[in-house]
Amino acid sequence: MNRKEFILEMLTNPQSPSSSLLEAASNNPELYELLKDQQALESRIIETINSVETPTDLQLRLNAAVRNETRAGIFAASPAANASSFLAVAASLLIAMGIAWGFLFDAARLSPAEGLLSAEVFSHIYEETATLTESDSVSMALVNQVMGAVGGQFLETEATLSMPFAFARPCLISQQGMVAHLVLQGQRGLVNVFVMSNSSSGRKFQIADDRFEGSYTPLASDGTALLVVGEKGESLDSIQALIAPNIDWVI
Amino acid sequence: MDYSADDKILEGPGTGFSTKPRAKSQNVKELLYLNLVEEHYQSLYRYAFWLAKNKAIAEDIVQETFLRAWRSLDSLQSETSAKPWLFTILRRENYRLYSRNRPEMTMLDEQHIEDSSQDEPGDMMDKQLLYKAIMDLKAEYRDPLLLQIIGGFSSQEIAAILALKPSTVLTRLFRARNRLNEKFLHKEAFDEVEFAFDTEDA
Repeated sequence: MNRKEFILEMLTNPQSPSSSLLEAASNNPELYELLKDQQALESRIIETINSVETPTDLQLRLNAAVRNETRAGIFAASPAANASSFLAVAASLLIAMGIAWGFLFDAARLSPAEGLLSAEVFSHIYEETATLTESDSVSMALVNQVMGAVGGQFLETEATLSMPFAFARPCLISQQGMVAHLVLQGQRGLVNVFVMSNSSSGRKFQIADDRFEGSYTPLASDGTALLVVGEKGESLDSIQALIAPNIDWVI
Repeated sequence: MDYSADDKILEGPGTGFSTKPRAKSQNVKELLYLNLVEEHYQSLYRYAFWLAKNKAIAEDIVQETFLRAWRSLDSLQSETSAKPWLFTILRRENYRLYSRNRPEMTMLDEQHIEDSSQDEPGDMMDKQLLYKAIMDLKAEYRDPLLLQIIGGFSSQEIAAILALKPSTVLTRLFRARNRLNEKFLHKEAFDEVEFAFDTEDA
């Protein structure tokens, strides 16, 4: 390798020098110095170019944008979908109104905000998980990616690594903002877990519809909370007891 | 991730809820999309920022890039071709949305160099100078350098993304580093080799 070839390769690809370039440098002190200086500058160039800060919430916004696009596409695509979405919204409103009505007569049950949360969560579960099966699975890496949406992640314990997660996605629930929606196998079917970091309710309460029942539990006074929803008769407390202590909050 | 395998899982006999084929493939598509975002959004943002020299515009370009990618995700043949595919979309979106209607910006609106706590004041100043020097490179020289460093692309891949001959990419990579060498190694540029490039190009 002559000097011209050496300089040409050194300046076009200093990151992964060929063996012949390294050999030429080792046999010639001048070329060795040139390569050493060039690689030192290259390290600074790489560091500078890669030091541009990425917005912390960009990944979430990219994921959320596509979820909105998907919904808009599905709703616009078929009259049947339009009808079913209308029915879902109507059902949500009826449930919310029913719960709010019930609240007027039984103040010990749900507040209007809790009632609306309940209605929205049930509507969300039917819409999001209708196509899930018990054979679906997602990795813990994806689960923790989704957990990042609420500023938490699962500790890597034997218990968490063996959790049979079937679904994980950051979701927008109007009153709570971004929540981590996880689904895992329970004893009676799939169990939905909503992990929240911006919860509006600071008390424990129960929700239910014809098929599902759920338990909402604040984890601390900082807005973190868990809502676990499963088929009637599911052991929700044991799932909550498995999940709550294994979340590492990094917000 | 083996998405075809995921598809089989999703198409398997479910013991729980009813299944819909369209929704199942949608689920696989979303997993693929989430994975692409996870893997590439940071490098695409960095590249967009160096192209646009503006944080807000860079974010817009990246969002449009991923939206375009989502809409044409079915055309992606394999994960290995995803990275050059995304960078190509990003360049197209940058051109479509901004470059063709905007002269090359020469001033930076905000500073985006991470101020590492380990940096000494002198190091930080050095980084700022290098940052400006890279920004001041001619776009035709800077672009292949960014693709090589941010994207980790080979000269052949850069040539495909930029629609140039591989020899032209090598010339531009050489010139980009030669300009930076003049400023930061305080040595004479390798003009004799650059002259040889000019002769070969001609």
